[in-house]
Amino acid sequence: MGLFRTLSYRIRALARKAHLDREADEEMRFHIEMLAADYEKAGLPKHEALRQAKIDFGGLERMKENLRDARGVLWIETIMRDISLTLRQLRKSPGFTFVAIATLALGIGACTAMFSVVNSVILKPLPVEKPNELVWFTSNLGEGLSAQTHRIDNFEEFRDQNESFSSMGAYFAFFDFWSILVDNGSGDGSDRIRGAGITLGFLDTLGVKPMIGRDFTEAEYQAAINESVPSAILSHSYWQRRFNGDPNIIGTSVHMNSAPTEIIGVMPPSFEFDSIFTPGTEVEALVAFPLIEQTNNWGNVLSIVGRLNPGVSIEQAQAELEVISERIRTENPNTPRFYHGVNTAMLDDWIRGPYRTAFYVLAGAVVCVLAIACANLANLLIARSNSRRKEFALRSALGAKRGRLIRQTLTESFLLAAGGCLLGAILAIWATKAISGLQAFSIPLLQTASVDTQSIVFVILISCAAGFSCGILPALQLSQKQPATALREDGQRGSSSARSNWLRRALVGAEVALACCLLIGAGLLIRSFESLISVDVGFDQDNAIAWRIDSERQFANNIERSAYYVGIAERIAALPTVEHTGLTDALPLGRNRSWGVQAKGEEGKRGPGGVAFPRIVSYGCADAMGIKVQDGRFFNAFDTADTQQSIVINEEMARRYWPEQNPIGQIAIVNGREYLVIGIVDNVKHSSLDADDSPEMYLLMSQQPDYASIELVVRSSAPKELLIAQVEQALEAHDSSIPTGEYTSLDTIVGKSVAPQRLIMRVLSGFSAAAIALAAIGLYGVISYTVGQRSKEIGIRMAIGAKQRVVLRLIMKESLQTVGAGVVAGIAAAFAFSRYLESLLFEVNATDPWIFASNATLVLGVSLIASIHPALRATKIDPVKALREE
Amino acid sequence: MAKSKADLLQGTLDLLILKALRRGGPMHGYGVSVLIKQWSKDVLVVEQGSLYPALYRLEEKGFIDFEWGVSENNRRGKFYNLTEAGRERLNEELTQWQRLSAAVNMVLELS
Repeated sequence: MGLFRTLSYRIRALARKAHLDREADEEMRFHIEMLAADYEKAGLPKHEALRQAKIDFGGLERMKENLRDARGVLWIETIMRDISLTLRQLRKSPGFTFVAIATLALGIGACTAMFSVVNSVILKPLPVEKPNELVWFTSNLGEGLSAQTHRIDNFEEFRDQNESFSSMGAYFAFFDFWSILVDNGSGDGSDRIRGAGITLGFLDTLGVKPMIGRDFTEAEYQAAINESVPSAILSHSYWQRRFNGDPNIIGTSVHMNSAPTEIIGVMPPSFEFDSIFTPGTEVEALVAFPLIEQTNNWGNVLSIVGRLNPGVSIEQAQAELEVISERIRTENPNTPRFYHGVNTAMLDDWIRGPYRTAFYVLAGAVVCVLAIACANLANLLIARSNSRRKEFALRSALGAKRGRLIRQTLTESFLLAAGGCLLGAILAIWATKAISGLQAFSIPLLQTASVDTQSIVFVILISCAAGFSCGILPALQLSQKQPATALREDGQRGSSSARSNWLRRALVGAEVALACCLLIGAGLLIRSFESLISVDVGFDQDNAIAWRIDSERQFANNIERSAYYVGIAERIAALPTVEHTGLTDALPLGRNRSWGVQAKGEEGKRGPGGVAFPRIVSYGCADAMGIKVQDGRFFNAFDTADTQQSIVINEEMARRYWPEQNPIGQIAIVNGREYLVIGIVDNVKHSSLDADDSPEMYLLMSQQPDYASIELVVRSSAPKELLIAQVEQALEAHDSSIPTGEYTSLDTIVGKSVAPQRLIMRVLSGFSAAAIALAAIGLYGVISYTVGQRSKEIGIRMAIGAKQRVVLRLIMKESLQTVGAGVVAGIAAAFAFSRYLESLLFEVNATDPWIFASNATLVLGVSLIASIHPALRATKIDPVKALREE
Repeated sequence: MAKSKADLLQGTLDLLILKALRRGGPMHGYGVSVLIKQWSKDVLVVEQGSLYPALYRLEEKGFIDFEWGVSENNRRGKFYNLTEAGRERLNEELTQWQRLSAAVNMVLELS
């Protein structure tokens, strides 16, 4: 019989159970009557014949049971019976049930949420077509974004001359400052959104298409040359938010930057540009980016993605690109080499690589927490089953099979796991939503995390695993006993349960080891995070707020433009609560670009020149930002468009470009123009807190027109709310066209820049706190249980004169042995795994002995506290009572 | 009633039931046990404790089916009948049994 037929037969049999039972009953009675009739024929009186027949036939119920067996529905029925029996038992101890399910739900929920996140961030293929063919272009020139990007003419040569790639596309990497003001529809102002400028073929290379509407046409790229935003493709989330998902939006016109923009498409929800390429920085629209002479002059601005031809390896592609870029270099000897370097990485590695370790560590941690929770539950179940040992022994003496008893114990743990699974799934949905909603985190694809089908499968699998692993030890342990031995034991406090004690202590020891390992890991990350946030950022992050104030206003020239913005800064500086104001086009830890730079007179001496990170500022910027001037001076109000073209450099730039002389008074060549170095300031962390110092330079707005966004930095020790209200009011009064409401405090910027590290540190700390708490509870349970079991022995000891101190030592010794073994194992495990943490640590040694020692001590301390209470209880045992309790 | 005088060899019960049903035609469980007892001259006594589970098993495997009928004493009873599969099975089991018993005999007849 095929499996399906068997199953369907059995299910039908189960449904017909009552009917079949009745039939069997009738058949048995028929048999008895026939038998009785024969006896009657043989001469027995009718009454006696029936009696004899019944005796011959034997137990009717037992017979029916056998018949059910023969019918083969027994296993389903048994399971049903086991379930209802277990439910009854669980209902009898609601406290145990609640604790067990809650523990499991937390463990399973955390695991599932973590799985959903890891699945999206690390495991699932990128939401593009055949992501394993996609290559990201970087360069071999440092880590700044400009060093990851390429000039337009280079891009075109790569694209047209290569044999390795089937297609290539790019986007304008500095779109963060390509802001679009969208008429908000209510007639009173506009919203600022970000548009990413993409080149022809970008979406085709990725293999994604707009969900509705279409990609840009060649004509639209041409149109983009003259108008700012002639057409746009919206992101799915912006379309939902701003246009309520209106499908008729395609072809309509929306005012962007005060001009009509045709909406030509909406991207699918699976492809959010920002979640892949610019996590943490929302991109609401895609716009056409024209590849023309003007944009080419912007330098390295394109982030390039290429799709490899089938069968071509990234090494082959890399080799070919090097040949092409070498040719470009020889053909254009006068362009700095910086513009031509090219390196490649698989897109997947480039996007996710930096986060793999962190998320694997977190996933490992959460599995540890679940393992500890399971070990605890297994311990609880062993304790519970020990008190039921007599019942089981009796049943096994009466003929219950071992398998049946194991099954029943497992039913209990599986039911608990099922409860944990349901609650855990709800928890996971909630937690995943909370995590994916963290827009501020610059972790790619984090926002796409959700509890999907894979997560549901995962939660079911992990619940089964949890149910099995909690139940199997108690089940085996329980059913192993010979009934005779078990029956002879006096149920609760048998002295021969050394084996189960050993098992319970091993479980707790393992819990302590895992908790210890996690605590050490968390300790390392916390220390690393502390050293990260105590890094000198080079500016004063307290008491300063920055407003984004660039508007759509048009100016005749840069002199007018810079004067207008400097005017705003001066107006705000006049407020009584404000100490300093300054303008900058790049706040620290946000924007990322580099410009080519050389020290005059040094050209060619130390290679073909280098790069520095530029900030285009107004004269008050150093004071407003709190950047210290080390030597010379910062710009002042007397530096204008007509005075000496000047530059202020940072310490690192001075060290690198003028190593043997005082840079002040020297000439720096920036993008081909000469500037007089007038001052040296502190290094500012401009890309991330853990990055090394790199060259930075400050140029004056009135002398250098290449700036787009403008931030007004206001320094004041006044309360934030008051300052914000005052400044906004003053801005509004000064010029109502200045957008207001877009402000961030400098400490928020610093906080945001370490948000991923903080998230990882906090999650791991949370997990280890949960781990140590669970382990402590487990230890408490085991020691309490031991005390209970040994109360008779302790009673005897005390009766013959043992002091309380001796009893205390007896119990604590047992606890310390368990904990000690656990801590040693935990330290060893932490030591073995610490090298995986290394890449996550900042200025902390992965085997820092102090952190190892302090966390191991913490585990010991918590363990002692957990065991001291039951140990003290042991000393209070009244010998008389303990001995009488038989 | 006498207790079983010979233990039934494992698996032979099915064979006996199938044989009884082929020779005796459709009949109820009681009839099967009586027939086997008569034919074996009271040597083989099939206990109901083995008989009915065996009947149910054979039914589940499709070797026999049943219908409700009326017995000689006018009572509603379950009458078992051999199916086509049951007939084939009986032939297989017979062959096997004959081979087995012949073999056992050969061994036992060695002096």
